[in-house]
Amino acid sequence: MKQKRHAKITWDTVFLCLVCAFFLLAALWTALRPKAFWSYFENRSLTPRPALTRETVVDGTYFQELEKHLCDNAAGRKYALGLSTWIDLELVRRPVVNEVVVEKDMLLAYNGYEKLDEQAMADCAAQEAERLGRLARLTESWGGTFLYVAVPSHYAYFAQRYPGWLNNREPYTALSKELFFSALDSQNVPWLDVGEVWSRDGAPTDYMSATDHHWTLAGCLSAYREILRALESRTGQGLEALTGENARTVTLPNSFLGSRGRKLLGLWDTGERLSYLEPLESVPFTRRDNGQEAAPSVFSFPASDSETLQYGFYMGGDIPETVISTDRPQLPSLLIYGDSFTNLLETLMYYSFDTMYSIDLRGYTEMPLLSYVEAHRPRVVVCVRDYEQLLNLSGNGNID
Amino acid sequence: MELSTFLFLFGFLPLVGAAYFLIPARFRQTRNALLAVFSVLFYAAGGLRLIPVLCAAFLINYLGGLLAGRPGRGGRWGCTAAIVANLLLLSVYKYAGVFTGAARALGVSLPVPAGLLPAGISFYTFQGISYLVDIRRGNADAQKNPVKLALYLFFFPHLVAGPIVRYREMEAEIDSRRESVALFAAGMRRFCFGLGKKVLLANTFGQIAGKAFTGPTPLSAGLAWVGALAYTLEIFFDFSGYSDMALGLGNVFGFHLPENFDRPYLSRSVKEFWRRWHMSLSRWFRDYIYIPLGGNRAGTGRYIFNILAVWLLTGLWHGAKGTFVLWGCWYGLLLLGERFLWGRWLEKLPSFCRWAVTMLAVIVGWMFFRAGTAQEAVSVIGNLFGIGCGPEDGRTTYLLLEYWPEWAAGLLACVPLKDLLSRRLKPGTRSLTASLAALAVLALCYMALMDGSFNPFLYAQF
Repeated sequence: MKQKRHAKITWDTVFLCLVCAFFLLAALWTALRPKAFWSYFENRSLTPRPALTRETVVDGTYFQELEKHLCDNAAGRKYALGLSTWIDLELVRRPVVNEVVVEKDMLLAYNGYEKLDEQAMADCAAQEAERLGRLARLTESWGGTFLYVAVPSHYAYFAQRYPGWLNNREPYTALSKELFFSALDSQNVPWLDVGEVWSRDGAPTDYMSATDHHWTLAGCLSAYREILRALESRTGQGLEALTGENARTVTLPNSFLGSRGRKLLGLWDTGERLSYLEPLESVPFTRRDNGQEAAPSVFSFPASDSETLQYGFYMGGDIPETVISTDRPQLPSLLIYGDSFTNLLETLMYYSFDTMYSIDLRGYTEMPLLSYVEAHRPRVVVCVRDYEQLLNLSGNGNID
Repeated sequence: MELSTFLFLFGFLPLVGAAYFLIPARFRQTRNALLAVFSVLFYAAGGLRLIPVLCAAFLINYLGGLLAGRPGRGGRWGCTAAIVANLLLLSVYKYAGVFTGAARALGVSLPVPAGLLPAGISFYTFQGISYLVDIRRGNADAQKNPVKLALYLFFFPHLVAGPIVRYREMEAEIDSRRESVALFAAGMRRFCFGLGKKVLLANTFGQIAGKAFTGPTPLSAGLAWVGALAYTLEIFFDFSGYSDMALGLGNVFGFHLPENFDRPYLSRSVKEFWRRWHMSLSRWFRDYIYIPLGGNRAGTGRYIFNILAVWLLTGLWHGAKGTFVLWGCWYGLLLLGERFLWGRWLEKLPSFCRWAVTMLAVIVGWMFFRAGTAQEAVSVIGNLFGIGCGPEDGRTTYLLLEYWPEWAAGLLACVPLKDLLSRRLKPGTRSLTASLAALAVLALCYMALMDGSFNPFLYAQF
C-alpha cells in the first residue's frame, strides 16, 4: 500500500515537473525570442506589441492586443502550425485544410456557401460595364482598340472536381458571366472569354496550376494566341506572336510553392514546376518599375535550383506600374491592366509591342486609369480579370 | 482575462503559482493576501474601468456582512439593504439597457451607463447575496478580515464564470487548507482536461454552429440539426471545461470548489438534467428563492407559481433578453409538465427513449438560448422539424466530414468514458495514464491556441 502511494506521488511529481517546465519554458522562450512581423506561410502581418497607454489599460484593449501579439509570437509557433497542418492533412485527413480543398492531385479553393443576390449582381455588372464602355470609347478616340479578357477562376475551371457537397460557385459563375457579358455588349465593349477558348481546346487540366490559383504557361499561351488574334483582327496590324518556332519552353527545376501549397505550409507537393517561354532571338528592352529603372527581365530568377518558387517569378509579382520599352516604334504600344493573371501574360505580350505599360490598380495610386490612358495614348488597351472579379468594382474594377 | 488565454496560461499562472509557493505554507494569511491581490489583477486585465465595480461589490458585501451579523431588526435591515445594493449594482450594469428602453417607451429619458458588462458580475453578485443570507440565517459568521472576504468573493478561478461558491464551503479552507503534491497534480490534470474541453472542443463546435447558423437561410433540416447539436456541445464543453479549469486551479491552491456538472447530457428527465447542469446555480436558486417561497409544500397553485418564478429569474439571470426569458419559461413549463402531465408516462418508457425525449427538450431549449430574437428561435426550431426547408444541403455533409474528429471526441466526452477507462486500468497505472493524457491535451491546446483566433467564452458574458 505504502509502495503504491509512493509510486503515485512519484508520478505526480514527474507530471508536475513536466507541466511546470512546459509553462515556464514556453513563457520564457516567448518572452525572450526576437519578435517577427510577418508570417510567410499565412501571408499576413503578425500583431505588433501594443502600446501601453492609460486609455488602453483602462478600457482593457491593451491586454486584448497583448494576447494576440503573444499568440502570434508564441514559442515554436511555426512548428506548431506545421504539425497542426500535418495532422489535418495526413492523420485525420480533413477534406478542407487551412481553407484549401485537398484533392488527390490538386488543391482547390474553399468557397463559403452563399446566396445569390441577382439584383445586386446586375447593378454591379451594369456599373462596371459603363466604366469599361467609357474606357473603350476613350481608347477608340485616337484610333486605339480595347479588349476585355475574362479568365476562368481556378474554382470555375475545375468546378467539376469539387465534391458535390462543397460550393464550386457554378451558379454564381454562370450568372455573373451572363450579366456581365450582356452588359458589356450593351456598351459595345469587345470582350474575350478565355473559358470558351479553353473549352475548344478540350479543357486540359494543365491549363491551370495544381497548387496555385493562377494559370500555367500552357493555359496562358492558349489565351495569348487568341488575344493576339482578336487584336489583329481589330487593329489590322501584323502582331508577331511567340510560337513554338520562334521560342522555346524552359522548365525550371525548382519546386513550385503555389498560393495553396503555401497555405498548407509547403507540406503538399504536386511535383509541379514553373515554365516560361524564351524567344530564340531575344528582343532587347528597358524596364521601369514605378518610375525607377529596373533589371531588363520579365522573370525573377531564383538564386539557386533549391530555392522554392512562387507565381511572382513572372514579372516579379504584382507591381503597381511597369513600363517595358523595346524601342521598335513601328509597332503599336500596349497598356495592360488587371489582377495578377496579367503577370504571366505580360512575359509574352511585350514581345509583340513597342512599349508595354502594365498597371495594377490595386497598388497604383498616381492617377486614375482613364487619366493614365489619356496621358500615354496606347494603341491597344487590354484588361485581364478572372471570373471572380468580373463584378468587383474596386481594385482593377475602379478606373475613375 | 480568461483561463484559456495565452496570457493567463504562460504569464499569469506561472507568476501567481511561483509567487504563491515561494511563500512558506505557515504564512497562510500572506498566501491568502497574494491570491486576493492576484485575483484583482486578473480582473483588472479586462480593463481598469472594471475595478470600481469590484470595489463597490466588495464594500457592499463587507459592510453588509458586518451589519447582517448583528442581532435584531438592525441586522435584518442591514442584510436587506446590502442585498438590494447588490441587485442594484447588477441591474445597473446588466439590465440598465432594458430599464432605459422601457423608460424611453414611457417618454422618460434616462442616461445609459457607459461601458460594457463587467465579466462575471452575475456570479460574484450571487455569491455576495448567499454570503449575506447565510450570515443572517446563522449559517455563517460575518468575515471581519477584508482579505479573506475578498478571496472568497473574487478568487480568480471562479471569478468570471463560477461555480457559485457558498461562503461556508470556502470559509474553513481559507484558514486551514492543505496544499499537497497529489492535490496539485490532480488539479493540474483536471485543469488540462478542462482546457482541452474549452480549446479543442468548445471552440471548434462554436465554429461549426457559427457556420451552420450564419450562412444563407433557410437552413435545411439536416443543417439545423448539425448547428443545434454543435451549439449543444459547444455550450457544454465551454462551460464545463471552464468549471473543470476552475476546480483544478482551486485544487492547485488547496481549495475544493463545488462541482458544477455531472454528465448532464445523460439525463433521462428535465428534472434530472437540472440536477446535473450548472449545479451551483440550481442550488443557489433552490436555497435562496425556491425554498423560501415555499417550495413544493405550499399547495399546487403556489408550487406552480414558485417554479415559474424561479425559472423566470433563472432566464433573467442569464441576461436581459426576451430569448433568455423564453428559455427560462420553457424549462419552467417542462418541469411542471413532468410533474403533472407526462412524468408518469415518461417513467414507463425505456431508458433510451427517456434520454432521447430529454435531449430533444434540451436542444430545443438551447435554440431559445442562442437566438438573437424569439422569431429566429422559432424559425430554427421549425427547421429542425423540416418546416419551411429541405431535408439536407451540402453544408451538412461538409460540417460532418470536416469536423469528424471533433464530433467523435465530443460525443465520447459526453459519456462517462473516463470512468470506464479508469476502471479497466490497474490502480498503479491510472495516475501515469491520466498524466500522459493531460500532457498530450496540453500540447494540443498550445497548438490550437496559436493556430486560431476563435476563443470566445460564452458564460463570461453572464
